Amino acid sequence: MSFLLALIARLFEVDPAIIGEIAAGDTAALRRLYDRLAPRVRAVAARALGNASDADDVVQETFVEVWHRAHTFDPSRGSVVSWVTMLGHRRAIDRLRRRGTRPTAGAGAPTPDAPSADSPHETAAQRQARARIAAALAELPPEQRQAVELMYFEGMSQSEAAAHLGAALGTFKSRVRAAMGRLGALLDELAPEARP
Amino acid sequence: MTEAEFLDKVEAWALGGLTDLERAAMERYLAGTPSQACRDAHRRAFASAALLAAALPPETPAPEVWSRIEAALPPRPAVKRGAPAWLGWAVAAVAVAAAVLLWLDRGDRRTREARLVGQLRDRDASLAAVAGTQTDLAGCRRDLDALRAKDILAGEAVALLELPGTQLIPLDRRGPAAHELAANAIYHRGVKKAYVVAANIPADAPADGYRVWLVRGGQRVAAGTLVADGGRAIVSIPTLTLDDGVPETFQLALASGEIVLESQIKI
Repeated sequence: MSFLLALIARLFEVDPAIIGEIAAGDTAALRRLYDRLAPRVRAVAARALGNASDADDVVQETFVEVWHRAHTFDPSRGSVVSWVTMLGHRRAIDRLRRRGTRPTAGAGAPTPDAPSADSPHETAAQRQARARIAAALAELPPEQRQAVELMYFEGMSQSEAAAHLGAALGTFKSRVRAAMGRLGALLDELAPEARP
Repeated sequence: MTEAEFLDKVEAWALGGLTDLERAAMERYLAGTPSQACRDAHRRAFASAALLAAALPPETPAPEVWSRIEAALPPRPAVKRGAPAWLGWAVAAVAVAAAVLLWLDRGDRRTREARLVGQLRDRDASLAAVAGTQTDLAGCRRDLDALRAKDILAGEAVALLELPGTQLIPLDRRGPAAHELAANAIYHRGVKKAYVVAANIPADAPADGYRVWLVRGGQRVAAGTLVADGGRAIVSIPTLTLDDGVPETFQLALASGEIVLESQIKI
């Protein structure tokens, strides 16, 4: 890993001690975590739901859940970033499924292969890291990328997604496994501390 | 549920592709006594899935969202019981952090925390490296002093990267060099700070390092020397050099003056 990547990787870390502070009732710690991760939760919710107001609701629900469930956080099961992202993503997907309709894929929302929309709140290192992730995603074979995106952003179950693509479930699972393998390799490069 | 079934579904779980019933079954299995392979697969799948979110441009929530969160939080006394096992470790880590933060005693708190995390990790790596290569105490001390100095520079570079408005400027190769030397400049115009970091420095790099130059108004200004240390190097550009105005170009050159890397971006 290059020296620069090592520097970038540090920016992806959140000290798990902050969750202990939140569990102890420290709202300032929750605010620090919010400042750090709310923009990411907002982005994934907006991409899935295609609606700014719903995305803000998901952010609100997610951080209230972090407050209530902080004492259950187990760092051996994953990083703070993974945990908060998972909570936000799950709430977005649940809301999407309750709604019963899905926005057209990518309509009005940024896609992972359109990383150039700079945010004024994003640092140079974050932009650099995001561009690197987006480039890696863009290199996935289309059928693998579709497989993960239909589940992650469109809220489809793996059976629904396989049917949507006209693929046998076994074939679909193989595509997902291959895509996740590539993402895992990228993870090793960007954030080796997340490696099991 | 069996281990094989868990491993078959864990990636779909991380991607949100399971039904509510399947998800609940996975939760129950993980809450039991799953194998290390299952725990590893779970951790890796969710970390990999989080990359899909990290690829999206971040979006700032509406300003009232935080107010709504605060209003939704019930008043809660500090946790006195049922603290998870890892909390003791976290408290100890915070105590160590506090001691070192007092030593650092500069910068704002968040910047110092970020720097501390990196320094602690680097120090662990440094100790391991030194333990493996040095047998005499004086040698250990010399290496540690050198590594500590480099860690502080790296920490400062990280802190600068965290500031909005910092530019990350790649230096491109000039001429047909065969090696993979790569470098970037980290520059913030407002705070007048800059660092140049280099990686993949070849084994036959000049012993006296590479010269760093700034070009301003067509004039080259000396801005430090990058000396390889394990294939990597970092140098802080002197503030006085940056006080004279915004540089147009960063250059890395041999002692002979031959430029090997140069930024192509107009700053």
